Amino acid sequence: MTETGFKVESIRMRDCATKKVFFQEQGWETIKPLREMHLEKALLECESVATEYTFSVDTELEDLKLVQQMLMMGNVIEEFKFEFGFAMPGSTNSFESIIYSAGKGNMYPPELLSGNLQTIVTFVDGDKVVGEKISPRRKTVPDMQEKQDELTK
Amino acid sequence: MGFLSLFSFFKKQEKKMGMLVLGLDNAGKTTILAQLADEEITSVAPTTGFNVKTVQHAGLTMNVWDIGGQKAIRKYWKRYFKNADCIIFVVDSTDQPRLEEAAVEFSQLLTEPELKGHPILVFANKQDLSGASTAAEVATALDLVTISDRPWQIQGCSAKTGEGIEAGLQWLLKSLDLPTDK
Ligand SMILES: Nc1nc2c(ncn2[C@@H]2O[C@H](COP(=O)(O)OP(=O)(O)OP(=O)(O)O)[C@@H](O)[C@H]2O)c(=O)[nH]1
Ligand SMILES: [Mg+2]
Repeated sequence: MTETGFKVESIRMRDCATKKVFFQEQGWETIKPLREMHLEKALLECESVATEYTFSVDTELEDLKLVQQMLMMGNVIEEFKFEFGFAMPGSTNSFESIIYSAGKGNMYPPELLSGNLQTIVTFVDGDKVVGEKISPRRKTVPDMQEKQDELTK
Repeated sequence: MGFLSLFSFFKKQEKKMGMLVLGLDNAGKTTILAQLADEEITSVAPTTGFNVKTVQHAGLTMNVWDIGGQKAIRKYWKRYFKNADCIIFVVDSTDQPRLEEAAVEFSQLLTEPELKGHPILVFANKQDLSGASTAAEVATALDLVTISDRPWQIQGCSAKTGEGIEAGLQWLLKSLDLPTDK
């Protein structure tokens, strides 16, 4: 917990079509990079994925925002922001957003993504970070690097 | 050459439509939100803050805000008015003793400058239970017929079975007269 008493209680990802939960994690210690957030191959093949964050607040926050960045081999390829604004004192809140696949042909092949993707999720109040999570990136497999070069030519 | 897009985070619309779901505690707001998001309904706990979900419907992306209705936190409702293009007001139709209290909160919302002219949909919820007041009875309790400054609608529904939810949403989307991107 930070001094504002902000805490991410859980993160959940589900396939919108089948409602299957792919990923669920309880308790996220803020400001500390934690375990890897696995992006399963199957999840990357879903047409739409819903991600839900549940978070609690002790002291009221005036200008809460969520920033989610996707990094591919260290480069930011997607950034998404959501503004909550006010968060009540002593509250538990949730946010669920749906990510739509760009469609076959517009996406990186899942076998390339797997292991090279990194997600950074940050909760910000005004310009102060109240919670951050960085998933560590796995080592790049050499032949995937080649494939990547081919793709970006 | 730039990177190919991995995901398109929402279809990048200018501004997403905002819906604010309000009503007394225990009315069924969080259960309705789950229905709107086509989520499996599990047990719900009273909301102590907000739940917001992006919901896709008829080619539109909406942010639906469900705010806790307990008396002590109703004073915070106004902090969320700026997110709203329309209002869903939920009433527990089996809670006749608190219909009056619901009516007071409802009429207060109608006077809010930030919500001026916003379409308002009233869900007379829990119609699956015996002893529920009818939608017409709830409409009378809230004195809906006197509203002349905005579109309004009453819809009986059950957040438990899903009955009536879609019809209510359809009306709301129509009343907003939005261009769809389909
Ligand atoms: N039978 C029946 N029960 C319902 C219906 N809608 C909600 N409930 C139940 O009513 C209770 C309250 O529902 P919630 O969705 O938590 O109510 P809420 O308006 O979000 O309440 P607060 O978060 O306290 O403001 C829960 O036990 C629900 O299962 C319905 O249509 N029929
Ligand atoms: Mg609730």
